[in-house]
Amino acid sequence: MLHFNKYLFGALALAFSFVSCSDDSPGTEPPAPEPSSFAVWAQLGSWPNTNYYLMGVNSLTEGSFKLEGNGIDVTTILNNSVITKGGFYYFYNTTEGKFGKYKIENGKVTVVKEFPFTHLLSLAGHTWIDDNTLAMIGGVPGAKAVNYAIINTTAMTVTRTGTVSGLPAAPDSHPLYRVGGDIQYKDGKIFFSVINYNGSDFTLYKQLNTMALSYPDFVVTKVSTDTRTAGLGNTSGYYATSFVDEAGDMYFLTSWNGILAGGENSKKSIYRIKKGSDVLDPTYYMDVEAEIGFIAASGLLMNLGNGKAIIKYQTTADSNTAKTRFSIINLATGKEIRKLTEVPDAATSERNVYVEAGKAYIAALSGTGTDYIWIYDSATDKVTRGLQLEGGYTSFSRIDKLQ
Amino acid sequence: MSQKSILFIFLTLAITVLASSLQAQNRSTLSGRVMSAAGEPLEGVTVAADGLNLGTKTEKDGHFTIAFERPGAYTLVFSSVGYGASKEKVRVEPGQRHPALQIVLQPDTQQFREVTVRGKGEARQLREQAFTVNAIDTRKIANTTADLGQVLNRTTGIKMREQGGVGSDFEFSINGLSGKSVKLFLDGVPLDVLGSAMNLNNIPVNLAQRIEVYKGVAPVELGSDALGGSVNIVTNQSLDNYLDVSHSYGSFQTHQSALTGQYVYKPAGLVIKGSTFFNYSKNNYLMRGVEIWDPEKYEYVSRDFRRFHDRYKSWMGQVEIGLINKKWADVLFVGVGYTTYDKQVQTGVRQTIVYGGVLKDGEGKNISLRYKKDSLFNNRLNIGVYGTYSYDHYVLSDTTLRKYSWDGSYVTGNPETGSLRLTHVNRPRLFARLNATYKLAENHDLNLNYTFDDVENQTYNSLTSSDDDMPGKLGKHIVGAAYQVKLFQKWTNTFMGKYYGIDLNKKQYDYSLSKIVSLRDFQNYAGYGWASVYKLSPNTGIKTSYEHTYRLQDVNEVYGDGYQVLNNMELKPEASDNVNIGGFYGSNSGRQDWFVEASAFYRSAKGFIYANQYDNNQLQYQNLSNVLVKGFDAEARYHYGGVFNALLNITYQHALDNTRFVNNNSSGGQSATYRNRIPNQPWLFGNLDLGLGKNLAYGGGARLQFTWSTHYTHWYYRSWEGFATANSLATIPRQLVHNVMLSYSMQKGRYNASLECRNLTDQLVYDNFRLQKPGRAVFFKLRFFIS
Repeated sequence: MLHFNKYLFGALALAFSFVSCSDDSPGTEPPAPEPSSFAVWAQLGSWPNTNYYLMGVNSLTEGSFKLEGNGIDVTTILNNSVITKGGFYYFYNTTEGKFGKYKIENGKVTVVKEFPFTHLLSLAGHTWIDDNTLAMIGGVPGAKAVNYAIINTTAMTVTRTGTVSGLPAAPDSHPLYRVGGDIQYKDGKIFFSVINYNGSDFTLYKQLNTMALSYPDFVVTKVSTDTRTAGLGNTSGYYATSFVDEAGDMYFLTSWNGILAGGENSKKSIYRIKKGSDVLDPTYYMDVEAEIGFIAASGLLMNLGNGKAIIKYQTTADSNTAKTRFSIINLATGKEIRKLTEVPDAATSERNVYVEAGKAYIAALSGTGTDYIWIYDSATDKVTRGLQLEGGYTSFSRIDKLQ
Repeated sequence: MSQKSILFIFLTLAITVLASSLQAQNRSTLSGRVMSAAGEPLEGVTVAADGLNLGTKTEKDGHFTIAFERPGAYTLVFSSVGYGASKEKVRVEPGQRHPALQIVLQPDTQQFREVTVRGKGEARQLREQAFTVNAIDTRKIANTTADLGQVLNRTTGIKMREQGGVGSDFEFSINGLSGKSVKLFLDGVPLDVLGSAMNLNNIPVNLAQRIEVYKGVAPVELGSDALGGSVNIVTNQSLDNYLDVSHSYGSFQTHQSALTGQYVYKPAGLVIKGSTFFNYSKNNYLMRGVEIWDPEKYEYVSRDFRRFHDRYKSWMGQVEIGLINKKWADVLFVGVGYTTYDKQVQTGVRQTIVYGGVLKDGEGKNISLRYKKDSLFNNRLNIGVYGTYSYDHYVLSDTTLRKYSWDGSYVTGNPETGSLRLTHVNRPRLFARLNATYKLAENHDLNLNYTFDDVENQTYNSLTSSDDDMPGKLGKHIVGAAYQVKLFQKWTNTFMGKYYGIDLNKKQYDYSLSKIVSLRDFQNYAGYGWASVYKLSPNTGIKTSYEHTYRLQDVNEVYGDGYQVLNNMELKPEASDNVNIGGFYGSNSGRQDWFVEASAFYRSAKGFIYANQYDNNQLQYQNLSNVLVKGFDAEARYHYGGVFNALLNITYQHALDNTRFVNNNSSGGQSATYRNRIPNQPWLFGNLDLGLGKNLAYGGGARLQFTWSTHYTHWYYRSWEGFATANSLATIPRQLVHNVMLSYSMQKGRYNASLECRNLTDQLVYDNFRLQKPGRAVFFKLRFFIS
């Protein structure tokens, strides 16, 4: 029989105790919190653990909010390219090949419905045909075409998919197509633009091709071009770069730009397609930098009503180090009304403005640790300070209405 | 300083040392041979000049050579365990070779009767050094089917997080620092020099004799920019004949073969050594409860399916031929090597991302030269030179345009990885190392190490281009100097200094000039460290070590690609201050043997490099985060003769986000996660091993051995703990995995058979969020070893 050392028994007892006493979950299910009216998306954390949290708040105009213990971690389910309508989120998960409908409830994201979907390389743009019908466009592998899909978001079924026919021919020097988020549904037709680029040095061909397409078969019926810019609206979901106003006129911003041959950067401009027209309004062109003195930031042009729109601009020329501010423009004239100097310099973020009833709710990440929702009222032209957000965040990516 | 000029200095230095060694041969030398009374040559006999700090040891054939700086009369003392000492007076004349001495030692039978030697293995000796080292003697576990990564995962401070089965991607961490922070070596040579097929998760244990893990602070011999630590796999360096052949077969159609061997032709001092391994596995283990679309129900449902696209093959062959025990070289080897692998990729970062057509294949080739000469300058100087040229090539292919499901079916879709590609990566590489140790005086040693590592990175998609016309090239020059002093025979201190020079060279397209231009930069950094051990008794000591160290920038991190990835000339290397404090205690009584060691560690790592994505989809590598890790690990081992052994270890690491400001800016609002525990990282884990063995009377030295091992990892959060609602906070669940092995050996380990079961209780095991690892698996291994 072996003569075991008494210390050995002690060590083994300790070993078995530590391998057997651990609980397997962090805690029990907590009580369900009250449903929130709005969601402010915040990104935070040091790399590589930069996570997205959704802050559910009941008011954007008053009170304060602290994320600790109250954020809904959406990192493994959604990202900030979601589409929102009627209190639901819609998300095309390209890596998993599925399209889903989601709801925020009980302090987490719940799946309403998901189904397999692979028809778009990625979501470039979307527009609502009606409250139940979502039209989406995106590129294809090889970038030689543009695909579309129409979804019934109530039944969560695919109504129709296909490839856009009749795209304007690509020049030999720039044979690939890029499509963005500047899509709108107007006058029973679909409108969006394509540009062409080169797959080796990635330079853009200096020509914007804006198209009118029949719905629901996505056949190009009219093409109008402009050579003053070669940009598109940034991908929707993440950004908001186009709208149809109360008068039925469509406006879009070409903020997704690039380098032209020779190293020149393409301009960021606002275009209009009048109600009843299928082509770019030849009388309307707004060179954002020339008008407001600053380059438009990525992807934010929203309709405020009252003939006004809000646009985000970058405070310095280097887009990668620039802070952003906001300007109010007169839509009809394409002239700046004023800059919102009351709102502090803010990190770029993405879709950090929510517009409702003529008011813009701006989540400006000042980098000081305490931030606010700033409210611009287009009727009174006044800026007020709303909800206080205790932070230290990397960005405010979105503001959405949940109910 | 340019790369070429530094290479020139290196070669000049090498030639100077070699010339010096030849010059040393011109001094007065005395040679001879030591034999036993029975006329057998005696190896390892100590030959010392009485009263001088001068000596050598006899070689296999009993020969020795000793060089004297000055002429004169000396007394040589010959001694060896088991033999009585012998003294011989000699007279040395200037610049002459003297007739060979013939010495005969008489056996000291009294000594044999009275002395019992309780030796310490090399692994134990390493653990008692000043550096904080996990030293694993793989010879003792040679019958296991585990790879080196799985072996290391059972030691303190080490975490090997695998994404799947054999050959899967993994993250290896030492005391909480992982990825590029940790450097891997094979006999002191960076492992990836030998090809991308060589990795911790496919090298069988039989290729290694020992594994050394240096935590936080590494000796200068491993000349590298290791921020968090280094792993050195040491192969059999003996000059004996041996052959070790093994093959295992097990679950998921897994085959693993290994062969290492060496033949020494003594009359000519000719040595041929080789090693090879082959791995094959279908990795078709069961995935439980994965989702699949049910068109009838029009919803996703959960089912169990076997993995269907995870086959892995790898092969390595390395041959060296050389000469030993020559006057001008103790060792001179030339070698060639080849590695290849063929890997199917089953999933993306989560198991809901199912691949069915993604492949990764690669091969590497290398030629090498190894030279070693000890006992130069009156036995004061030892030098070693190693050089290799390698060419590594791999292809990542994604060309199917399909979306797969877990049942293996697919629909037409998009590229599985997001891009249609046949991405080729070619890496021609030149690596050279010079290591010299010089004995300044008794207990005072100097070590100098210079490493030159030059690698070009060519990446292109062959679907759209035929080559990379804008490759990046990185030359690293690392010089390390260490001074080791032993005070009062108990206190050993090592002081280290390191110089890091990086030569960055990248071709890039200039849009304004409409042509490709060449960009270049050279940067210098200095590191330093100290390691100290104080022996309270022969088996007990306390130790501490510190190093300020770097992980240097890659070329593409600095220059980007000029389009999608912007350059960042302000990018700094990742830097860390690493501290270890620990101790060890060993004791023995009769057949019992104890060894306990514990260590506390502190890591303050700054400026981790990550790609920051801007709104315009461009990326830029920046020093984006800082990490502070504090923790401890401890291990206790017990042996009762050859009958019973036990091992228990535990590691606790508290890794905090030390990034004070958002995006690691120098000012502004304090980051919300500052001083929060880093998520998605194990922080408490441990192991228990129990072994029971019995030597059997039959079978010519047969032995039966049973081993039980348990691995535990505490659950941890997927993302930051303090911010999310409890309902949305994802976790990586607890792991409690048991492995058992029964092995039978005959003829003192010549013939071996073992049966091993991993994950005995068939637990659902995760190292990463929603990436299941294999369930229960059984392996059978046969091994033949002769020496």
